[in-house]
Amino acid sequence: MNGTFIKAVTARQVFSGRGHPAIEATVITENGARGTVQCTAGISIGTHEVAFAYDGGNRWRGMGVSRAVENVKNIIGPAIIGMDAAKQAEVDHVILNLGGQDAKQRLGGNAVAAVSAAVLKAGATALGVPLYHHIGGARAVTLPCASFGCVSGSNRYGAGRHAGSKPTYSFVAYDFSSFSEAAYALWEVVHDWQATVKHRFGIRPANVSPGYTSGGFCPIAPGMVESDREIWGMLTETICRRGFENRIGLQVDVASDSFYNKETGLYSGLFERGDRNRDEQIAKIMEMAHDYPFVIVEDPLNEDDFEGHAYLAEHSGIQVVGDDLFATNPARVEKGVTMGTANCVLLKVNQIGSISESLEMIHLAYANGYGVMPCSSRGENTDICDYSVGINAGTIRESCLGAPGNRFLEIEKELGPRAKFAGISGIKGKKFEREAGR
Amino acid sequence: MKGSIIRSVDAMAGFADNGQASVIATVVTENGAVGQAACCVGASVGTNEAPYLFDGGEAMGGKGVFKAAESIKNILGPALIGQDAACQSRCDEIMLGFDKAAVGANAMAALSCAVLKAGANAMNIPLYRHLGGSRAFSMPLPEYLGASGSVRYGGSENAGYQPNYYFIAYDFPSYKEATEALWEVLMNWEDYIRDFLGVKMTYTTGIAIPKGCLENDEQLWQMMTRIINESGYSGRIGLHVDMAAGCFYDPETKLYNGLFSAEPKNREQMIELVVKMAEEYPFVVIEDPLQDQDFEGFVEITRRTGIQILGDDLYATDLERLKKGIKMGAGNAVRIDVAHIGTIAEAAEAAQYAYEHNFGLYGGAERGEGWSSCDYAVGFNCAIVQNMGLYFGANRLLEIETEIGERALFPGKRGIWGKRFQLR
Repeated sequence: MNGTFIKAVTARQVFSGRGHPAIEATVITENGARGTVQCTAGISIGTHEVAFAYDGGNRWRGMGVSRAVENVKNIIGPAIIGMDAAKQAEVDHVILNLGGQDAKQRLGGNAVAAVSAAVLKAGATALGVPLYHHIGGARAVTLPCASFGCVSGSNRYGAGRHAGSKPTYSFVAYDFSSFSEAAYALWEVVHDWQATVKHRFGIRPANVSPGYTSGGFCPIAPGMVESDREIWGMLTETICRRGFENRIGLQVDVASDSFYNKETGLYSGLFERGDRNRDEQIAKIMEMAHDYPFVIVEDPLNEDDFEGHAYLAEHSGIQVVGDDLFATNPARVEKGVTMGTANCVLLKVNQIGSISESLEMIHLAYANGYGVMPCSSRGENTDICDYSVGINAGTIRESCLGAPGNRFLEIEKELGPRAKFAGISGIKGKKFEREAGR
Repeated sequence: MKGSIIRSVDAMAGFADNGQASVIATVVTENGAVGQAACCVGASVGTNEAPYLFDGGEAMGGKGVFKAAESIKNILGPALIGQDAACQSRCDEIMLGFDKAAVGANAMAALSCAVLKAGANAMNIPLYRHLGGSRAFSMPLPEYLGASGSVRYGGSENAGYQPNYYFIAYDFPSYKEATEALWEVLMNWEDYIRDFLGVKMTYTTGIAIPKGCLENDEQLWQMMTRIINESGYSGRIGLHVDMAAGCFYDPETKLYNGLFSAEPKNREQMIELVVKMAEEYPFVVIEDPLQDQDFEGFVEITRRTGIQILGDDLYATDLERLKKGIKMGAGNAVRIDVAHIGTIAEAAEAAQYAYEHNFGLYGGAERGEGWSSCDYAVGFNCAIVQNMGLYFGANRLLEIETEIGERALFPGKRGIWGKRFQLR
């Protein structure tokens, strides 16, 4: 029997990278290789899908996943035992059609995603190849621009209804000759920034957990600054003080929907006190792209404003990423592509369900000249580095120091002279096309 | 040839979870097993710790570790090739033949742990069992960081982010049940902090109270106590504080500056304050309440409080200091951290000495080893392990608890040293 055939599938409830319950699936092959993956559902409680993803009830604040665990053990697992873990598309096809077409809804998107990704990892280990190579084959040689978080937001100026910790800002090191050079420079800037913040506000950055890839965000609370413009100034000064002007830039996840009122069409308490209408919001983003070293802006406008995102992609010159805008949904990406909406798609590998669906979605973006920016918010953890290299992503969301930084350094070393640093050409936007001579 | 023989050793200068530079060692055995381990500088560094090797100069604030990586690649590594990774003490003995300061205790610690992991993997047994054998069946108490400090009250620039406050779950029948209760408390604490500060902080990213939000830390103690009580876990979940008092201590004036409040405190005032914490608040573990030369002060606090008084910077996992402290009764528990001393063999020796003298063992976890600290803690039979009560550390410990099975021993409140919690 082939060593890559699936021998066993198990699952359990664990803590996710966000500290909430998550499902963890393990796939074991005949030759003893294991692939273990956790998935935290990105679906909010209350939608139709959730009944199967979460247990509800009082324990674990309703977020327990014992039913999803049972579905893996009793339904998904038995259906794929005996299949070849190295043949991702075949396994995914079986899972996605278990008992009819809406398998994800019935079994739980989190259960499906965890097993699918565990199959991918078990397949790589069984074949004895690194995960990035199993994903991208010999083409997988690109290390992304190095980025790391620096500021998180909050309801800083009132009116941000569900602001969570948005907007989040990151440093992006792009004009360097290798990933390691970029990462060490990034480290200098990040440390300078953290010392600045510690002295001025007495706050510390968020930890980088060994299992979670983003970190470094300093939670600047209400009352600490007059407006975010003050923060942009401080960040810019830090970059310049370290001598990395035009080599290290800024990235922001605006998450503007959290500040948008659909009734009035106004953005409230975003970057500063008060309201802005759509045109004023567009002007604000243009100002950020021109007057400050922003190189990547994510979800700058509300998720249904395809035209506005098209305008920004055309005129801001920088990388415009759609997260809520595209929702990892192929239909929305297709619509965006036709309209020239944004120029990069945010990828949460485990959000869409199976690995095959993620890869199809990436293919769609690339085939239309769009970038893809991976983000590890659904339980991908440091595997996000392998996904990033596997799909030759030019940029990644804030995952390049700490544990993921080490994984990238390791991959860079492994690829040796074949390793390619995305650099300037890894960032979408007219400004960088000119600089990279495209 | 035996599969566990070391075939190659490599190293790199990487990053640690605490934001510092970290030296990472990789050991590969003849049968292809890999062991990888890291060592980085801690958030607060005690004066008694083994000497680390840093690059110096401008880059990375002088704390780069390219030199430490080179010493693994060119000095320590070559000496281990051909040795049996399964024979930890022999490998450590060879490394200890080198001058620790010259090769770097950080290089040594990373390599020693990498050997241990490669040995476990080569024999295909779990890391905790390779370290602790069949005796490794006891689970540590779960704790998790609820609040960390900063330069909240001025006074000290060396304090890192101390003091650190942990919620610790002790009066439960199993690790699994303790961890679920602990999670509930941390969730309630997150909610409370969001309302209090107007900014969302989660336990996974750390909860740090900025300047100007508190008059003194006693307010924080009241808040944390309230959350424990309102969650219904009074007397079952308590508090652990790592004061790292040495970082706030000025040897010139003999005063503690900026610790818990803006007012400087002398030694007697600190002792009275710590006694009050143990009497009026649910503190069950207090770590480094005084600077790390004040053995007598530790003795007095241990005698007067009845809770666990833990020596971290006081002992720095150093056997000679530990012998002195145990004889005097300075504290009743010691933090075991390979990164403080250099090798697994030395840490094991300190752990064994403490164990034999009825001193509590606390597994340290901040120097780049991530959740491998869980395996070290179980392997050394530590009664508590730092910050592994939720999240990825808990994922590993839950796995270990399941693996050990029905005979897994959870210490419950006996896991807290101090006469209040012990049979005698």
